[in-house]
Amino acid sequence: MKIEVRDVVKSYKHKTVLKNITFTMEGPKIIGFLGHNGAGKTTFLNLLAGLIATTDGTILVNGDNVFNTPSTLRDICFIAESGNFQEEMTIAQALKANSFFYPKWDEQLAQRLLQVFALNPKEKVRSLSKGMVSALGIITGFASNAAITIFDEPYIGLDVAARSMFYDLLIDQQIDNPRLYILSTHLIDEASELFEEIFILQEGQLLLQKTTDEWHKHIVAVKGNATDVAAAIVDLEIIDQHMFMQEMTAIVHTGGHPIEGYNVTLESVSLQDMLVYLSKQKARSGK
Amino acid sequence: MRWIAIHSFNNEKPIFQQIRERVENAILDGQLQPEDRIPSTNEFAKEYQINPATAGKGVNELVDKGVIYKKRGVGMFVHPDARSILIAERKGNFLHQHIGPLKKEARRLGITVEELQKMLEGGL
Repeated sequence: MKIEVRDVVKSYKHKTVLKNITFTMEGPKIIGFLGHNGAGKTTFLNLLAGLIATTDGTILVNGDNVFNTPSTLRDICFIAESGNFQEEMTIAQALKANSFFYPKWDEQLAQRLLQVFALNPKEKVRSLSKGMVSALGIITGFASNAAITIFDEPYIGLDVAARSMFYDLLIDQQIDNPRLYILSTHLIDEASELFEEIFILQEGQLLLQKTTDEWHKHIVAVKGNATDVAAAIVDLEIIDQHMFMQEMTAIVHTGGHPIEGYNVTLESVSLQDMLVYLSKQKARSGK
Repeated sequence: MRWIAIHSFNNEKPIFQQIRERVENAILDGQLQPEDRIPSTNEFAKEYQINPATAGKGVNELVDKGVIYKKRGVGMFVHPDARSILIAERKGNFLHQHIGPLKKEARRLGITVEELQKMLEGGL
């Protein structure tokens, strides 16, 4: 599965939500699609799922334009934050409707997951709690067996135990039946070790695209006294730098070159911290 | 099905490195013996709720070092030489990783070489 995004722009009347985005996603892989509220994630996912049209640019899935080629949509299952199911349907009917749409639908998995999440198929969508609707979305996403499965904030209303079940399922599924998963979430610390590649959107632009491997090699916290740290990070891109009790911490982009031979401590940077640093950097450069 | 990730890791080292070190420590401590089967990449991924590719990286580093070996279709096993390979490697790092910080802390506290020696001989 290959998704090619070329020069994509999405504007509404008064606002440009996505500003010239270009990248390629290739799977099977679990991808973290991250960014702050209003960064344009959901808009992009709607474009990718062929639900809305781009203002400019194209999105190709295995070479076909998603918006003009309805058949590609059977390979893409997009579980949005809300509104995935018709309120007056029962759970069984909602699943049935989806099973007609997705040619590789796995009914056995759907039935098993209904039990795992303790949902009653006879209940109407209208009467479900937020967490139960989220669970229904998760079941649909996995059972769709779609080569591209997208979860946008899939666990609103789900407690930590149910979220853990979701992570277990994601790993199980990826082992048994690898797909291209795109997962957008606020709970970054919880999910970060699930990702093999990370995309970060900010203010409608792609801020960063890295494999987890590159992440650990490229993004490093350098700690030590100010002189040593300054020497170690000369010529490197500095994302954030701060001094606390005479200790300097610099978050740098190493470009893949190891930092060796300096009297400094190196630590890896969590995805969550990185998002904070990046947005600070962006805010500074915007001034 | 487990409900929460029990085996949380600290944040300072990449997770694949922490997996590698856990296996290494188990071998050095004798918890894992030569020819013992070690969990597969997928089993590591499930146990720690991490991406299978990430787990694979930690496991592959152990294979590259000759600490574990793969039997096709059967699994991965502790190599008979694993312990000696690891001891040689860790001894090489001992000065830098342990003696260095020990000296630094001793200096900080004004502990003399004689005092330090006494402590080492006294044991714990």
